[in-house]
Amino acid sequence: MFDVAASMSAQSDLRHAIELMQDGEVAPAVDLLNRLVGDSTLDDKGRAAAYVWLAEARADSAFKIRCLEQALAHDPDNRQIRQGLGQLAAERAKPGKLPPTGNHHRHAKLAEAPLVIGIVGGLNGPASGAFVNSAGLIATTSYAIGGAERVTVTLDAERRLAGVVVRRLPTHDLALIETTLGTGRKQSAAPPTMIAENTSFIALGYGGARLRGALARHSSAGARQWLRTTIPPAQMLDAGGNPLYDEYGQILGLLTRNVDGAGNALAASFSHVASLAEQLQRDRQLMPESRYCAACGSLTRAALYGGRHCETCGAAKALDHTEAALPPQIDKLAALYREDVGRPCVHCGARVGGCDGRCLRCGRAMASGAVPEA
Amino acid sequence: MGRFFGRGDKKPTEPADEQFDLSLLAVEGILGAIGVDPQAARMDVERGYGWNFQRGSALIEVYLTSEEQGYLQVLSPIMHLPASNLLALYRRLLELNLQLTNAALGVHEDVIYLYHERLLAGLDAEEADAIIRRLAHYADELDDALAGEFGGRMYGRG
Repeated sequence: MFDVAASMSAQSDLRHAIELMQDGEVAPAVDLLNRLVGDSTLDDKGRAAAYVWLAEARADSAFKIRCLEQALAHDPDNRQIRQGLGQLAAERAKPGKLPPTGNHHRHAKLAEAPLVIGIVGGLNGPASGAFVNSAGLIATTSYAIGGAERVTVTLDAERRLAGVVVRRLPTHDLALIETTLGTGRKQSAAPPTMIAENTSFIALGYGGARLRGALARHSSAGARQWLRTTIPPAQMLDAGGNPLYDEYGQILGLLTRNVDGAGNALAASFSHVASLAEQLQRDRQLMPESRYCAACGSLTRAALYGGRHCETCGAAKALDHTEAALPPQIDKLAALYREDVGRPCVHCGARVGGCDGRCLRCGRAMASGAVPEA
Repeated sequence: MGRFFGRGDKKPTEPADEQFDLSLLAVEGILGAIGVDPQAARMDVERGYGWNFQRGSALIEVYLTSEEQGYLQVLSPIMHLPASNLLALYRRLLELNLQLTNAALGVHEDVIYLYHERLLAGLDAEEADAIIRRLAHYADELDDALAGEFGGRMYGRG
């Protein structure tokens, strides 16, 4: 039986949520709207309105589109919603219009990048690092950062600022940290082709520690991203990320916790670090809604489709209120998790793929001639 | 017939009769103490003894076998694997394995099991009691939590 009183109460809540949103009180408005979109006493037009106002809670167009799609599902004849959806889709499709990557938040600029930076708050103790570009991106080791998402960046005794970890590459033992501080002049980096065997260097640790070393011969021609050093990891000054400078003051690379066959520390060449930073910027432009996964260091888009787990490592991600309100997009998640590419298992029907010829779900042989069991 | 996880082709080595009989008495006594009638809970197993009973939402199976040196095995089928999002689920199982004491999560065919085994030598009633109670407690908590997060079908339910 239709409950008139409950329906009126839901309508009243909807009006209240809209007023809150109009007054700029987004968080309570979102809480209320999240409840209302799942409230069966609210009619379809009311739910559509709740989704439309929920769309106003966030700036990213993908989220708005998802909300408006839900709104349209509840009120399919609503021309305004359809028009808004069309406009948003057209804006997203425009070529060359890439979203900003955070530079608009920048409010301070250093005349010159410090030679070495201190990183505090990572999982494995204090570390060092260096600016990678003039936009305030800093590199240190993945080992130093671990699963931390925020660290403190120390420029000198007086100047400290918050850093947000935006990418971590465990196989390279590198992590990239974003700050709101730009640098006027880029680091003077040695050209990769000019870095020779036996080049002597000084590795700098934040706080004044120094370590002298030299570059050893490359074991393979294809490994130019790595610089072999004569420094054993036991002698390293901190959790790594120490910039190496040659006698001309040019930066060669960053000391990592990775080791070569002789057990000496490998440094990531600075050109390689810079290329990873450029790759990050490209990834963020192509996937502006992606988030950082602290568990594996990659960028994840799962939350965009209502998924709760990183597509790279499977770690659980908390969804914010607005994301949690929307139903998961099963088809898009299946594609993201690569669970739509393989043939269904002949035994259990799952399309999760196999390993060593066996289904990842039921463990049985995925032989092409096998007959599914009843 | 129970689903006791055997040791492949290894030939059973009979444990000392005395130890086996003591363990049998201990397990039956413990089942009685936790409100389970050992005779009613008895399962037909190929070797040794087996019992099953319900604890909350979880099914608990206990095996006592003379295989190898003789050991106690306690397990609980938790849920059927869902047909999607397996990477996340397998990761969670490994994360949970780090948090469990004297128990492990594992997968056999398409079912997730909570599992514990221990050699009979040195096993006394107090320890066997603790093992069964702990595993029953874990199983009762984990089946709801995992099914809630990953959407798989809980074991023994439609």
